[in-house]
Amino acid sequence: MKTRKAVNVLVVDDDDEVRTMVCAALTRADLSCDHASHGEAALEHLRDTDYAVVLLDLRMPTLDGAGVLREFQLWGRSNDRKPVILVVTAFADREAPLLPGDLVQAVIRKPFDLGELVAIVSGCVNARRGVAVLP
Amino acid sequence: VSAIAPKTILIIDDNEQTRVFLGATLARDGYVVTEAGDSAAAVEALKTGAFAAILLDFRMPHDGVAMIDYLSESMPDVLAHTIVFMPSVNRPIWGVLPKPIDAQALLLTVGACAAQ
Repeated sequence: MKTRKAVNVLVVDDDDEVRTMVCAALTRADLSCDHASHGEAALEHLRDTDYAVVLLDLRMPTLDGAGVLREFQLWGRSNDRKPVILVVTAFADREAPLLPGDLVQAVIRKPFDLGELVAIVSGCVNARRGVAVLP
Repeated sequence: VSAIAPKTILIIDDNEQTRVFLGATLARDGYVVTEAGDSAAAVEALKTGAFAAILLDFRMPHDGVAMIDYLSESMPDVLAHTIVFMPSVNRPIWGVLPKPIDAQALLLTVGACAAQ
């Protein structure tokens, strides 16, 4: 049986600048971080890695954030392997009501305060340590 | 309720990931958070502690309705400081928040509730 990797955070955003900035800030906060620029790449990461937190942009080429959520929901992963999913969007009023509330924990509005975002993600990772990092 | 420490919050939600997010976000804002994964744990927490605001997921299997009924009958002052995750309930609660949770709205709503 293939051993699953454990990484703290997956950052999914098609904006190179946002992805790089968020990952750098998370790394400075001593969190391990993977990143993906579109939905298909995000699903590849999610297939073989357990994340404590996923930061998910919605509007992306190829496969968007909603598509990632639809596919991920079908996997039926056990509760202790599910990440905290935070959708990051500039269109919260329009898009948040369409998201599955049992799968997506929260919506973070763009533009966001990077320090606040890192603090919340760090808090989630710390709370999930010993759960999400099981091999 | 005025004697209750203003930064004490009880989270009642069967979704572990949601409790993790709420706990991390509210702790970041200086709140002291107690978590309950079902109504039995919530009743225990309410027996031993007092909270400035309660966050309740109405859609827990059976438990959301039972919890509202329990608070309505036994702890109406607590119900008056309860924020429910769902469109609306016909009870004298503090307010409602939809899921998924808007992080900004969460802090504004909890802050207003806890300050009363």
